[in-house]
Amino acid sequence: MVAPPKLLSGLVGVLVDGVRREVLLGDLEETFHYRLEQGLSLRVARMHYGREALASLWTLYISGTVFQPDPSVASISVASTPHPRSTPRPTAEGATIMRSWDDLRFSTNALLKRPSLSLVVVLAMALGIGASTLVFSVVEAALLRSLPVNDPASLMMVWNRQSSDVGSSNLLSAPSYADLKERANTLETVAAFGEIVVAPIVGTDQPTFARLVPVTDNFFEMLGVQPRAGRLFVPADGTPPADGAPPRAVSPLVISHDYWQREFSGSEDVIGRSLKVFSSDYQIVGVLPQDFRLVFPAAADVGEDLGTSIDLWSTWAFDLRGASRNSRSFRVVARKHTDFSLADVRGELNNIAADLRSENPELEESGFALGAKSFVAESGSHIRPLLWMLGGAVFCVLLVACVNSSGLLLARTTERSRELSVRAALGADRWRLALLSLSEALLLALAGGALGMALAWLGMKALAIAGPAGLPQADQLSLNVGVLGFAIALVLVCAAIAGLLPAARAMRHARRDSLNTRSSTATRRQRRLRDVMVGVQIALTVTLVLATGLLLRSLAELQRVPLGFEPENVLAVDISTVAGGFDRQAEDINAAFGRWIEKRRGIEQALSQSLNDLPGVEAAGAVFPVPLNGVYSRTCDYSLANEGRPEVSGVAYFRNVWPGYFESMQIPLLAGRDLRYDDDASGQHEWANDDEVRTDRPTVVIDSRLASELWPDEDAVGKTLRYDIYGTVFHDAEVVGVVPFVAQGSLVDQRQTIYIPRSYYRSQELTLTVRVKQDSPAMRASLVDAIHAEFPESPALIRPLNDYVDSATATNRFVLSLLGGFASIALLLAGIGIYGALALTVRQRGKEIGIHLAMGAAPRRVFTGMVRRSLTLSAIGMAAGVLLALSATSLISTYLYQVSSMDPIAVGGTVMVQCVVTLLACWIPARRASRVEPIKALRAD
Amino acid sequence: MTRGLGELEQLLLFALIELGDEAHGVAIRDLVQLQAGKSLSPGAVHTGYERLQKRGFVDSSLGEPTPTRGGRRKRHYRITSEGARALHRTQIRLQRMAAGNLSELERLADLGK
Repeated sequence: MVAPPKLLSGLVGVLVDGVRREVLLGDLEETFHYRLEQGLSLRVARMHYGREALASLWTLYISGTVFQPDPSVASISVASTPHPRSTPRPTAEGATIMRSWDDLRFSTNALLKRPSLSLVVVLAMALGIGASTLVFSVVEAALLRSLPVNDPASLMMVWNRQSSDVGSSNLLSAPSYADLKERANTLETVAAFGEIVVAPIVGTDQPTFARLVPVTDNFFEMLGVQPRAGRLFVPADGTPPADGAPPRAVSPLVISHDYWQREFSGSEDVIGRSLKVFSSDYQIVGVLPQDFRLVFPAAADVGEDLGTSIDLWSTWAFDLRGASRNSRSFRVVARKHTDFSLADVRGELNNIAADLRSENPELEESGFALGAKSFVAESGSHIRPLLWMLGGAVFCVLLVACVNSSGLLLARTTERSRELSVRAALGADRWRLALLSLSEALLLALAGGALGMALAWLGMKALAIAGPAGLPQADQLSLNVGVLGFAIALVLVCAAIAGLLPAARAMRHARRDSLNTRSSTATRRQRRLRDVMVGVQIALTVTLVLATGLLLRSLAELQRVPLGFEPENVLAVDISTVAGGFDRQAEDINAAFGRWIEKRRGIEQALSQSLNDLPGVEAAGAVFPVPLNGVYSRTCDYSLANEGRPEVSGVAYFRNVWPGYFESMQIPLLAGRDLRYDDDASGQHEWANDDEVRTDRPTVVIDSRLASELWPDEDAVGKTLRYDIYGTVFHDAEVVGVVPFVAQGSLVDQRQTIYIPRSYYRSQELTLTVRVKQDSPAMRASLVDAIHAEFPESPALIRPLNDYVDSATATNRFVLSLLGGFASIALLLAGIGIYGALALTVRQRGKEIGIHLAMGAAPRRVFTGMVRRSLTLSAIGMAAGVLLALSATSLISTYLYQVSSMDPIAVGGTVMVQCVVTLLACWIPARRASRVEPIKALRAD
Repeated sequence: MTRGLGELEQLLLFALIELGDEAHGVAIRDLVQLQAGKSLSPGAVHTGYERLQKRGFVDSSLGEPTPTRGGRRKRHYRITSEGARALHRTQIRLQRMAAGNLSELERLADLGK
């Protein structure tokens, strides 16, 4: 005989029980066979069967019938078996599985009978699981997921380890790179990339900036990246033109997937298109895959994931050997041979460095050395503190949620003790009862987990919008297998933590004879356990609240830090000062360079003049890089070696400025004068290397912190200091002015700044700082016009300077809002926990309270007694929480500024918040206790 | 009794009267489909009778297992005297209201077309 569809009959079999199932399945099957007899095809009959089965289930569930006992059998079953719901069933089904299904079904029914309690537990678990899963997805994307390149474990960073300070001085020169590539036997492949630049894309209607990085032609091949479209670089791309041949007219360019989507809407015919970057022509040859990521070790000072932050990739094509060893712009990435260890590599690098030093006097002089660091061991190191902190915070939330759920379920088990005792008395074995408790917890955890997934998903979307730089990008966060596995593990852990105590309680019921048990010792023990659980919740909550308070205080302190400049009404305009190149083939290169410098200075001076003349502009200056820009650091070494005091030395920022910069930023001159356009006009220009200019009489302005460090008791103006940018060309510069300290990198940055005139440095990048009376579209349009009058091809990206100031606290605000969110969740849960525990106590001790009241105790005394008890418990929890927070401060120390971990305001505020929550939570149960009617209480059970 | 009988419940009770000893799930469904043009899922039939049974209007018993049902038993339903009284009451009430109005109702309904 043909059987009806197994899947559907199985579904009905699982979801419906008892006689109901038998009759329903019978009816369905009978109709099914009848239809077949009528000549309907098997397919149609099956379809009807499915429709009817689903419609039946729908009716049974929607009407709630399935949760009610079957009227025709209820009377028999209790008598015949210990389990009220078990009924004789066909033997075909597997008995054990059916039994656990029964448990689950029974649990569902039990849970649906107390929807509010179940809802609270589900919500608690959803919040705990959701928050943990969200943080885990970030950890997974940032730390655990391996880079989408070939064998990331063998990748390493190689750099010039001459100074302890990481920065541009640790790059290699082209010839050193070539030597390394030739000599290193422990390295399978050696590749490199250069400095990231924000490059102007010109020759279009809307000139823009894009982030460009040059790489060696073997860079992508070494990583093992496959193009999404077109091709990546090949050795021919990096081959310099033969002697006498003109430099290539068009250079190949690889674009990122994101840039492709953004600028070309993912159009397939992008390959072959030309793009003008700076003043050179490029042709797009390929598109990188979407998932390309390349996170460097923190020591590489690259900061971000190159895979997502870079738009354009160009390749070097010049004679490596012909370049100067003083021009260092190669960041070397290498893949080691599988046969060698990291120690082997380091050993060989030391030998190579020693050989190179003895061969090249300039390397000997600068103390050349080579170091290597593994990618994998170091990857993500810059966001590790953040992840540790968030991990700690969500762990607290999760624990609070679990303990809270456990407490609520325990309370319910206690409430149901009579029912459990009846079952035990009727012979239900205690494992079965424990299993029932556990399956309830599991069901709740499953529901919580599902809801938590949804919350985590929403959180990922929110992170994509509000997350600080350095976190994995939005499209990298996903509910992938690893994250889902983690969430499922959490569900099980939550179910275990929340279900074990109630299960143990249920088992104890079964062991005790217990229909009439109301042993006061047991009740007292229960109460003590409840108190401990409430205390744990309070302690964890207080930890989170206190951490939030400390961060809040830090942010307030941080926003009080004087900037050193006045950002209000200043527009920062990124431009590119493309002024043509200079003739590098000229016979007298210094003269050619001098002419180029003069030309550029002329144009820039004209721009400065026209900006200052614009109506609505109060002052205009220019700087590169702008303070708090978050991208560039640009440091140089300084010393008093020229005074014979080389031991007075350090690292400072150098800022390339126009005269007028200080005025536009309202940075007052403390001594001396501003830089002048003619400061270097009389000097002789010498092309020092790719970027630097040597003049015979350089001038600088320094900040007061540097001035007092170098010349503590003297006037700095008129003194001379020595600075060098790449460790190759040094300048003995006269200090002509002193300005107040300005934080450049972050608000708490203590590093000093040397302001050098614009003309000493051949950078195209420049940020205009224009102080306007009022920012308006018309104002911005006239700025753009003025800029295009001098630099027709330049992009002009306008942002209020306040944006930079705001973004300087973005990470702090982000961390604060996340932690604040976690703390609020914990507070809410702890409140519910306190309420639940006290309500149960009142119910259990109703008789006792009733006696007290009957003996003449004042209801107010009962009320205050209850409240005092809760507050005492809270106080203990709070003390533990503060201690816990103290031991965990190291996790948030990165984000603390000028606030001690025992900050009285933060601690006081935390205590107050917790007290208010405790009072709110215990008010209603305490009131109920004080209104117990003695007679009723005494009569009740 | 506090609550009257709904349409479905009346249909189900009439089906029991018509089918007598043969009143079980499939037969009832077919009858309701045939006579009232109303198609019910097996689940809806049993849910309806369970409600009636709780109110004491219906009795049920399990029959013998049959092969076309995969060896499962049928559930037979029988109307109780209390159920009969309730159905009767509802019907009388309805018919009293309807008496004399049917021809006018038909006219109104026709006009509505």
